[in-house]
Amino acid sequence: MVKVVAKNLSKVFKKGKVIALDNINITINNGERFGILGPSGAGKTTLMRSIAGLDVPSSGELYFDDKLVAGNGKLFVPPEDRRIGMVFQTWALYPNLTAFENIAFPLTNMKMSKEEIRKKVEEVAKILDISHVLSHYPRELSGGQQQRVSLARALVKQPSLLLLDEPFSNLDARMRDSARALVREVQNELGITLIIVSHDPADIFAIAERVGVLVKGKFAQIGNPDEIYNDPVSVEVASLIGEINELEGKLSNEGVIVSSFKFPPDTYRKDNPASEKIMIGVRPENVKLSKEVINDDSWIFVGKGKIKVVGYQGGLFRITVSPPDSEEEIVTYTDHRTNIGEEILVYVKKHSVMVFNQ
Amino acid sequence: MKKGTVILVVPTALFSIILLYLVLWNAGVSFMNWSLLNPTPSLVGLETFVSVVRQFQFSNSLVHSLELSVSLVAIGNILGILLASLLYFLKSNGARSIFMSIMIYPLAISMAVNGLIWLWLYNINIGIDWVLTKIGLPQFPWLSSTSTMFPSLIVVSVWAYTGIAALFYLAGFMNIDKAVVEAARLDGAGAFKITYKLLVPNSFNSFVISTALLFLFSFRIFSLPFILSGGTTNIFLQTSVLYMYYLFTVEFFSDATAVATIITVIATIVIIPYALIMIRRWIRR
Repeated sequence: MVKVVAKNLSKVFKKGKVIALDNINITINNGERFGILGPSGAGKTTLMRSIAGLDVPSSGELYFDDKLVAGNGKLFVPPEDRRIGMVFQTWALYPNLTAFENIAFPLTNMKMSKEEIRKKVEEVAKILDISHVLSHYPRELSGGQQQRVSLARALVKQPSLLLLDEPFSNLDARMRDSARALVREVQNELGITLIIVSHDPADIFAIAERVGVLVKGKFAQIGNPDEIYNDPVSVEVASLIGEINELEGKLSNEGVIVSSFKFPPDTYRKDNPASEKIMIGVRPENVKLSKEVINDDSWIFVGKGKIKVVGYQGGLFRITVSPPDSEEEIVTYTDHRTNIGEEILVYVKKHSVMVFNQ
Repeated sequence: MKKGTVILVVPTALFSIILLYLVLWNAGVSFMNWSLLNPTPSLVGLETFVSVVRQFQFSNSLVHSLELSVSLVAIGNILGILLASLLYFLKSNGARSIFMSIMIYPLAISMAVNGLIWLWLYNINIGIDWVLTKIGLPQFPWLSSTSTMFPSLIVVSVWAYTGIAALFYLAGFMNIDKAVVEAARLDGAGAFKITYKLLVPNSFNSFVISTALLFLFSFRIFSLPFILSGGTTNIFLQTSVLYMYYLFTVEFFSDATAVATIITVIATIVIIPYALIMIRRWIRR
């Protein structure tokens, strides 16, 4: 329920020796679910903390709607007046307070009767399915319950902006999906603006409508997740938003040559190679391995490969294949077992190879 | 036994043996009747204890010691929490270490020196009273009146020892996950509420350590009352340890050791449960 606007936002640490944010310009719309994706040290957390008011940007301006909340190294609206609910990576529950008291804490700082507080806490606890653990202390709760208590504490004060800082990284994989679904559902119901910071593309795809990929303190690309997945501006962005095979090749008349593999022009997705030395990227799902020749126009033969590594992951075999006598590797997933050392035909999907001109 | 164990055990054992020997020797003498008047001591059981405990000076000095301990533990903890939270909310790390150093400075110098400094400060002509008269306020008698003498001693001991409580509380506060405090800020809690609702309740270890230390420091205090009262005989500032020393100087050896034994027993009764709580908490972590 608030629009967040950053204008030339920068943050430096250690007297300018470390640049955490470098001229960030972004508008996050009212009610939007915005994701910030980036490797560690890219400035994701600094950006989120600046928005929360816990860090003061060194230069540039930050607006909530049309109100200047921080600008040119000064804080105009302190964090407690920004109407922000935040879920920290460590959840930051108050260890000496029960789950109920944790959730009620923001309300006790407002002028509100005890009865009203009880009602609100119970309401939000019911939505998040933690009503039965309200009398427990954080240390007595499971990871998932702690995360939901933390979310409840962020939501109970009816914030206009919800910030999630790697909220799922401390959950086990099994719980993550339901936690993501829950966050989305709650956001949908309340219509609040949501910003999620994560290094895990799965979080972004599950929650964000729009994502900014932060690399070295700058947004390398902003767009919707699918768009960035399919048309990343650089190899780095491509690998941040999903697994990708990065290959360095040489340009020839017949296409891009990577050792004994040849990627002909009809495999290119969009851009054509412009320089002699070229970087290409292929998503694993756009690679197919076959023992027999495939007679299908949408799959294009690139060469014969040798299977190097076979792994097993999530019901699929993860196969690493290389051109014979070469170190280049391509990873893909298949549903049937293959043997190490076996020779195999490598196909890629038509118009699926990303070409990165450097 | 492993080599490491031996290296660890031998000095500890030696140290304990010497310490225990002295304590037991002291206890042994206290069951005798050794004094200037009786140079050939013999065992008299609890007779010395009974006669010492009946003395006015004994109960008077013990009450002083306990009063001082209770005051220092209470005021020291409260002031320690207050100072530590002020330091905690300072934005600059540099300023924080400078202020912390100033606060623990009295501990770094000899307590006798602290006593002398305050003897000057309490002087009605040149100390605090000089400032008071300059700004038109009445003089305060400090050490010159029997009724303000003891509170003046409490003031000095608070000044000397509060730093250590502040240090332990600050360490405890700094140990708390910063995100927890930030979450509380986002939840709209002010510095005061963060302190009493989050920082203090999560610093139980600091409370235990600073209470134990403040008690020990104040219960065995010697230099400050000795310097401030100018000797061992001022009954308004006499603490148990001073009284013990007084008995020794007048060569009532058994009486002195009896007082020493009582002091040791009281300190042990207070400190051992504390030590046990602490060890249990550390092991549980």
